[in-house]
Parts: sequence; structure tokens; C-alpha cells
Amino acid sequence: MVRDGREIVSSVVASQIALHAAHGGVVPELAAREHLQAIAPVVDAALRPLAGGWDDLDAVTVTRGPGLVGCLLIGALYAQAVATARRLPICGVSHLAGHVYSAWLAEPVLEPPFLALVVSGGHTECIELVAHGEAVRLASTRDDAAGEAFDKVARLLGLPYPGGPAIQGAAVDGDAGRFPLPRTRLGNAFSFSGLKTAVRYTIRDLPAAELDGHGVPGSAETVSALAASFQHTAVAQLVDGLEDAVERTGAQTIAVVGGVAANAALREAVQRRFAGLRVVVPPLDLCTDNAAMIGAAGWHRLRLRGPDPPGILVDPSLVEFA
Amino acid sequence: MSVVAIDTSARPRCVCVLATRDGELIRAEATTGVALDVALPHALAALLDSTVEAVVVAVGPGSYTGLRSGIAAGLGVAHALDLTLHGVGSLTVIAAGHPAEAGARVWVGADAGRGGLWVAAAEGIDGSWRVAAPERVELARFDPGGLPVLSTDPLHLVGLREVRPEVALAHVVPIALQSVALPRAGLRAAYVE
Repeated sequence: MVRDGREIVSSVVASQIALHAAHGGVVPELAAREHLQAIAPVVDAALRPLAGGWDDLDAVTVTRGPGLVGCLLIGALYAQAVATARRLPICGVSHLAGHVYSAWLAEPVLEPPFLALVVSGGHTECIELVAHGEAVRLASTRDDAAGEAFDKVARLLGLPYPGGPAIQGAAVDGDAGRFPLPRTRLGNAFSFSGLKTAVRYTIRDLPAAELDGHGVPGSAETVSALAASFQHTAVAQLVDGLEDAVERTGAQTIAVVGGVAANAALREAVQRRFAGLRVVVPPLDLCTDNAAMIGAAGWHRLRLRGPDPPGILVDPSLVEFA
Repeated sequence: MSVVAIDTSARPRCVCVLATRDGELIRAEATTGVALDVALPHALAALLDSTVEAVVVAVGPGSYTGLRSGIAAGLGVAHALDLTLHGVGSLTVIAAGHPAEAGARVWVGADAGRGGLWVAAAEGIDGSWRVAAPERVELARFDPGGLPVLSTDPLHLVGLREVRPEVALAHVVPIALQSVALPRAGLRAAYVE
């Protein structure tokens, strides 16, 4: 529940990470089942601070993409049924726009224009929010998303899903210089598949005695060193790409948002590299997926474009940043 | 007072009705081949009014995504208006579209896709059908054994008696209302698991 677009009244998240961790990644069928089971209790919990409950609501906003179609349908159809039943205006919002607006939520005086690096399990994008409701895409990944690379490398190292926290933890005591890894930059695009493959080949070329029966490094020291080297290189690629966008646009304000923005090494690197600029990195609970950011993005969308008519189309491949 | 009922178990088809508690059809919104994210909100916008006192939704067997979409929409209405939500089997819905004579025996069937058929035996008792647990069989090998087959789908079966989906959905309302209301937490579609 978000008041006037910017004040978070409540933010409730039902995480499925424990469920999917057993499978090493998100299982779409399980995700859709879980959404149906969780949506009403989560809404009840979010409504709890409102004295008037449903009567205190003025509008509904809902994610219409990108994402898994089965999950998007459950959210969009539940939300539209609620809006119709309560005679409330509703609008569909891009999940990516939500991440961009998590910076706006986190920083009370932040207003566009600003650059945003959106880094998550499914996306690596650099955009400029020119004005509310207007964004320009500056760079995106040609292959894997940054978060996806963290997950895949974690698996190569025998670390659990999700890979971000696992690699960050393993990298703490690792020697990042022991296994130098190549950086990749394709024009204005990000790329992480080469880095992931480099980790794979590094592990393949380790002495057989260093690998267990599954081809995973058996030494904690080697795992830590590879985790540290991968994290260092991935973060450098992200920061280099962001710096390139800053130079092209002359931006004075930058934001780093999305699940990967919770990574401590990335947060530190951005603050260090862009010390002369205004840098916004939201708190951890606004970096990972949440509905407050959808409320903030939706508040602007409703203000600028008005409500959507019945039949909000879900779009699993939606690319929209405002 | 009225009841909104939703059946999206056959994914290309979206059937929503406003009916009386006794199962009399008031208004219907039915589409085929229209995406559910378009069809369902339009149907609810056309049907919902201040007289609605309960929601009924088909919970399977049927299309996984279709069932979950219908249940999500039904849950949204019930949750926002603090109404009870009642689940009903998809084949029980179909059977309700045909008069149940005492002692009559029929099959109730629905297209399960990929050459499959959801089918259940039904017997007329006290003016309504007692529908057995459904099973999935191969449509080409199914032998009705001379009994009629009730369905809302144009199945290539001897003895097929097509039932109008919106009439069936309205008629199943009093049966569904006798069931215990579904919990709002932990909802799941039958035959999805």
C-alpha cells in the first residue's frame, strides 16, 4: 500500500525462494501454484494498517509483465476482479518500471532525469528516466542477465540458489587475483555468457584432484577465489557499462536497482566510481522484488495516462521502463 | 440476490454467468478463442452488480492455466466484497445442464486436449446428478456402452448430448452453494496437483 505514490504504508512479500532452491531455479508451474495460494493472505497483510480496509483504497496497480505468464495472469486477473468489484481505477505496470521507481521511493527528493542500471535475475538494462512516464533505453545485455550469471556460476561452484547471496558470501575471503577472468563489453551492450563460460573452463582445467565427483571444486579456498574473481569481474562490467552511459548522457544522478543491486560489492563499487555524482542505491528490501515499487510506478502512470479499461493484457516479454 | 459463477476449465472458452441462488440464469457472458486476460475482466465488468452475494468457480479438471485464471478472478471478487467463494467440479457443471431423471445413467465428458477425454459416470438421484470421480482416458478408445454422453464440447462420440455451457453453469449454482466455502489462503485447483 503506497500513499500519494511515495509513502510506503505497508509492503508484504511472500518469497518462494526456499521452494525453488530445491530445484536450483524457478519452476514456472510451482510458481503459479504458489501465487494462487499466497495472493489473498498477502493482500490481507498489506491492508492491515488501513483503518478502513478496502474502503481506504483509491486505486489498484498490478504488474502486467515481464515475467512468467501463469504468474502474471493470476495477479492481473485477481487485481482486475478486485478493482471491478470495488469500482476502483486500475492500471497495468511494467515490473522493470517498478524497479526504476524503487529509487524514486528510496530517495525522497529524487526526480527525473536520472540514469538507472536495472540489474536482476532476468534483466540487465541501463536506461534514462527522462521524465515521469518517459524513459530511453541506453544499453541491455546481449545474452545472460547479471543475476542469471550469478545463479549459473553458483551452480558451477556447488553453491546454493539463489546465486547472488551465495557468491557474495563465498567471495568474502576469496583471492580475486588467483583466477583472472576476462571482461566482456560489446559496444553499448552488456554480456555475461562469456564470463560464465570462462569460469566453467577454469574449473574444467583444474587438476582432477581438486574436483569432486560432480566436477565441482572440492576446496573451499578455490571456491572462494573463483567466487571472488567472478564477482569482481561481473561488478566491473556493470560499473564500466554504467560509466559509459554517464559519459554519453552527462547524467548527474544515477540509480542502481533490482535484485543484483543488493550485492554489497556492486553497491560499494558504484559509490566509489561515481563519487562525484549523486548515487541512489535503494535499501535491500526495495532492491528485491516488492509491490511498493509497482504502486509507485502505477501512481505516476495513473496520473499521466489515466486508468486502463477492463482487459489488461499480460505480456511476458514486456520491455517498458516508465 | 444473485451469484456470479465462472468456468474457465476449457481454456479457449470463458463462461461467466449471473444467476439466482436457485440456479436461474439472469445474464451470461461467454466467449471462445478470446484470451482470458481480456475475456474474464470484460465478463466481470458486465455481470457484477450490488446484488451479488456469493461467487462460484469451476476448479477442474481442465486446463491448468485456465483453472487458475478463473479461480484468481473469483477469489478477487469474493475477497474484495467479503463474499463466500465456492468451488465446483467442471464435470458437475456440465451435468447440471441436463435434466436428471431418477435412476438415469449417463457419462459426462470434456475435451482434455491432446486426444484425451475427461470422463465421469453420473446417476440421477433426487433430481440432480451424482457425478463420480473423473478420470482421463483416450478419446478414440472411449466406449460409452450405449449410454448418453453429456458435454459442452462437440466431441465425436456416439450418444453425445451437447449441453449449453452458460445454462449448465447457472444450474450448478445451488449445488455449489451447498459445498463448504473455499479458504482464501492456500487455494489450489483440483487436478492441477
